[in-house]
Amino acid sequence: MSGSGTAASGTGQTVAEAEAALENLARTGAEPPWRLAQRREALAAFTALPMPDPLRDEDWRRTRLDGLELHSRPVQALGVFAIEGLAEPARQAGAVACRLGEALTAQPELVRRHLGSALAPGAGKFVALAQALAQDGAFVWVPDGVELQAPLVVRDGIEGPEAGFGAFRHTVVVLGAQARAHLVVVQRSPADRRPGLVCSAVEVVLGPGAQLRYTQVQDLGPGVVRLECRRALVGRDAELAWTDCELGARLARAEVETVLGEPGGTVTTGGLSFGHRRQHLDVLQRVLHVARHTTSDLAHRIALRDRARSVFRGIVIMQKGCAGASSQQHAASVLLSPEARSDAIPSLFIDEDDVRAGHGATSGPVDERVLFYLMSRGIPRPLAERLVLEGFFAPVLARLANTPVYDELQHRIDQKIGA
Amino acid sequence: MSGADILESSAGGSRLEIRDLHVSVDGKPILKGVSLTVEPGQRHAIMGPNGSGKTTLAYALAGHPGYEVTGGEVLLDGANVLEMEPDERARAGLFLAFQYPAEVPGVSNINFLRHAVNAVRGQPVSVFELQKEVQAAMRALGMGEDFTRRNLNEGFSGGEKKRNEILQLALLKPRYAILDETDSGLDIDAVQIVAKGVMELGRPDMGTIIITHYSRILRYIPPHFVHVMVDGRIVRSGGPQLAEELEQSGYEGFRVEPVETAS
Ligand SMILES: Nc1ncnc2c1ncn2[C@@H]1O[C@H](COP(=O)(O)OP(=O)(O)O)[C@@H](O)[C@H]1O
Ligand SMILES: [Mg+2]
Repeated sequence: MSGSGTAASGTGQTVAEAEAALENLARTGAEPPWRLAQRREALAAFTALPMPDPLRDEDWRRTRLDGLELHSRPVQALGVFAIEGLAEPARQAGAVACRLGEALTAQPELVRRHLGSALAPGAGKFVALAQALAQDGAFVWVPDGVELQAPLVVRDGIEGPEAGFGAFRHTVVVLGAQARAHLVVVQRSPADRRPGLVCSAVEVVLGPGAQLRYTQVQDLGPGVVRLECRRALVGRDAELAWTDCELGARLARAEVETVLGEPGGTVTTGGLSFGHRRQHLDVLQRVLHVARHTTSDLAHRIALRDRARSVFRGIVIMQKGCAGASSQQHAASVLLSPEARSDAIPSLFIDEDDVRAGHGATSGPVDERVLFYLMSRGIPRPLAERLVLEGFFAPVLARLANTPVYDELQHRIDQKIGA
Repeated sequence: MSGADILESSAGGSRLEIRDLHVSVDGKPILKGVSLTVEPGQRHAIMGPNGSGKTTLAYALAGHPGYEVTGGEVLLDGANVLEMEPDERARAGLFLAFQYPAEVPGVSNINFLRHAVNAVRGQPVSVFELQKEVQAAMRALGMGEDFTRRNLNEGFSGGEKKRNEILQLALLKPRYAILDETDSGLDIDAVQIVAKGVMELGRPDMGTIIITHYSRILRYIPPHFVHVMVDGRIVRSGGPQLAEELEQSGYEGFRVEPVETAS
């Protein structure tokens, strides 16, 4: 049986489950009719859209969903979803940071205005799945001119039956003109091998001059398949910084699209993928330079042990009219075993003369010269390797400085180095 | 230490002993029989033209994996150094001040020093105690406060790297140190400061091998012996006046037949 056939049979189950779940939801009356309609629209799109075909779809050539089974109760997941860190002055200034469900009850009109503004219902196969079935998610809204001093922290601790779970998330972050925020999302699930699917859709809209840092620590259990789609619309002179730390899951795919549609918009990424055993970690960053003087700087640091595999794709599209735009990307990989494999594939599509674009990649084992230097000071080889790796990830960790998850992340990286 | 241990170590002799050392790099013989004995408190200068094998000797002593020892032995207080990993050599009391220290991105100097000191001393030093020691040594070496926070050698100038090597020497207090061209790339004032650091911050009984091109640093680290290395061999050994002689006449006279060194 072909891979996509297996996956399709899995999704067949999901659709039946999903329809039942939406019927139940409608009966409870917990959500307004427009919201249910959006979900149904998304579910219809999910059903209609084909599974990604590794033979035809370049974006899925290196990440196969062959083994993806959506299990007997795919729509179910338990756990704790909490968002903390909204200070009182910001709340009084009108800022909102809560679970999507709470926002729907408390501020239905605000949610209605923004839900779907960066990702239309059914914008993609897995976007549609997350939108249709979302059990949870964060809703963050920061009005014009309001700056959140402290980071907002979303703790998404997913639990679920040992037999398997499906967790679906829909998160919306909207910043008004000159607003500022840092959102940190930590996704965890039990460290045993129970199978699970975590599927998320994230929408980001930044007004003129807004600054958002969006940081995610993906630390899901080793039986989990994680599919995440994010799309951001960046306003005039606004700045967006993505930091993705991919640590967990059996197969993790993050597909991030940033649209620089207004002059002066900027996006930077500086994440890490740290895989071991047979983990497959795939990060796809797509940037659309539409407007003039937009800049993108994509960087990713990868370390792989055992037979782990990483894919990092930076797709930069510079459209006609984005004069003065510039783009850089760099991927650095450290291969800690001869069986590990890292593919860093930059793609540039340039349809404008007056732009600058560059890319680079490095890949190789730990620098023996550096190890020898550290060992010559009495430091045993395992500790020397640990120091080198910590140092390698230090620029990513620096992006999390002064957040409550810094120590956790450092600790998890150390654990993985020693694992 | 038991009485038997003491007897044995004194029988092996308290010294660093290099006996007829042969070293190849990429299969090419570089050191062709080097013998040298350094007793505690002694300072030996090794001078010689570029490419004569000085750094090869230093790396071989430190255990660089790319330098293959094809003959001879190295004994540190009677123990076989060549069987030890580089980190074991350091813990046994050997120290190499690198000619070109590696840059270690993302690892702060202080974090590195803490791990090195803990490893060499065999017991954890308190952060407070370490800071105190580091600050004192840095003052003596004329290093700015920010050195501890900067990443190890990353973006350091040549001179800053050399000072940093001696800072490590000051903290690790090796029994035997090899300084590989620690003076090159330093201006005259810096040479003086760094040399003073070696003399005052190391153990008083440190045995030292000073690899250099210039007699300048030897004014501040006066050697008891001077050796001339040419083409992978020590071709002449003498007292401190030999350094002055070399400064005048260069190495031209030594490019002839190797002279048998005293064993
Ligand atoms: N990594 C290497 N690969 C090949 N040859 C080397 C390497 N390192 C040193 N050599 C050779 O070994 C010889 C001695 O080098 P070296 O010990 O660095 O000399 P010195 O320090 O006295 O200038 C030189 O001929 C040099 O070209
Ligand atoms: Mg040299």
